[in-house]
Amino acid sequence: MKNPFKHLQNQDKSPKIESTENYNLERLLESAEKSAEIDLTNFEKWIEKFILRQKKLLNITKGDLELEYEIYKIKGKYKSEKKKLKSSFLSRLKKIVKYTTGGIVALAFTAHFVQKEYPDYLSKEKEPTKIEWNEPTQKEIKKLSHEYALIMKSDSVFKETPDSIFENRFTNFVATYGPNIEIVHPGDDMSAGNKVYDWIFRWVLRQPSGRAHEGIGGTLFYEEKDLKMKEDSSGYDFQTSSFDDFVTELAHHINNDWGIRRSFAYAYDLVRGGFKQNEMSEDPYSSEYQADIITKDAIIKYLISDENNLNVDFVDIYNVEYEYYRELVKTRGYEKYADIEELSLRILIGKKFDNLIKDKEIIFKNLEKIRDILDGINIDKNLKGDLFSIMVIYFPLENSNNNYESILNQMIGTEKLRK
Amino acid sequence: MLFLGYMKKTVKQIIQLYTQYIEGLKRLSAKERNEISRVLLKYKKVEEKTYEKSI
Repeated sequence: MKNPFKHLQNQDKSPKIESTENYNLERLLESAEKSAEIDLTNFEKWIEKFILRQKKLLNITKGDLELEYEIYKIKGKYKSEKKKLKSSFLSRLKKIVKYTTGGIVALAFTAHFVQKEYPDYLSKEKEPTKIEWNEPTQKEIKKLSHEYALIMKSDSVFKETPDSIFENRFTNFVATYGPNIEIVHPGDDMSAGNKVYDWIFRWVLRQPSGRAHEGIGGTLFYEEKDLKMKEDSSGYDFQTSSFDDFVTELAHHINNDWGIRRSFAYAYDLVRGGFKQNEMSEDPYSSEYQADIITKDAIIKYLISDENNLNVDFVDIYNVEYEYYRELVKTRGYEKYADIEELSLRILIGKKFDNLIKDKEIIFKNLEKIRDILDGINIDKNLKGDLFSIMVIYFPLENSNNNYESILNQMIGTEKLRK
Repeated sequence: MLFLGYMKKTVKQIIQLYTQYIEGLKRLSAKERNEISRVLLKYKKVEEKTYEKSI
């Protein structure tokens, strides 16, 4: 007889707590060192250009050994001073980074125990925040609101609706629930601040080639190489990749998501995952996953809704999605990542909002029942995980007639026979 | 917002440090440029005087 659990084995990806923290910091410092070296070289090139220009202006054409030696001596003196400056900058940076990491770890672990005290539901915002976005942000939102209008109007029901209705809906949504966003094109403006953000994204949060990054303090960070250049009447302009990318990043900026609990949770997840921010979105128990999958789905359900759900408040969608998520990740220690992801897709993301409401009670009840039954039997944790998989994947949670005791007895019988 | 505040403060510190480094480079380069300018001007004057004498 075939092993009924074979296909489910080795699927679990348990959280790996690795101490890659030092490695990341080394890379961050390496990156800062490279950047500092490039700056130094650039200043030297600038001096070389200056000398050539001055010689030309003063009409010094002949090479004179004495003059060249004088210049060489000055350059040597300043070269050593600049190197000293660079070393001092790097050693001070090292101290700050080391101190910060210690602080993050301490905060994260404190947070782990504190976070439960803070509710994570979104409260209703009455009006959009009046905010002066910077020019690139304004341009981006304008472009995306138009893209949004086109998406909505591809549905024949909205074909005749004026673009402005949807454009305003999009802009109001951003101004109400994610007003603190700011778009930065680092290729366009590599100021000291942006360079530092760049080091952090690349080397601490490991975002090697992301198109849009969510940053500290509400910045959406677009990388130049991933932007397409588009020519329009005003010349070349940046064009970000897509509406979808924007929504993914916006999901991290929904007001409550960056409240105290989420910030703590984020810090804890960063430490738990060994500072691998990129991989956090694959862990269904992480705050990154919650934003990327659950919050993003709430935004999509709100923005790209059908005729029947157009008037549903975003807060209602968000809170229901979050309620589902809380039920899914109420772990008893044997649930597999793959199953939680599969359930997120099947019972949450693949459904319309009205069905989420309709099925909520029975799904929650069934999940609780399965977990209670599994808790009551004395078997290996891995086997419990396998049984959980079968019960939630092969027997729809929306079905009120599932007799889990009987299903379980049959499965355990089969397993005994197999042995 | 403790964590965010803490991170923001640190990032601000790093930015400040980096800005100081760039400003330091600018300051040193400006001084270097002035010294080189002086040497070039001095050379030019000597060259001109030598040329005048030779005439």
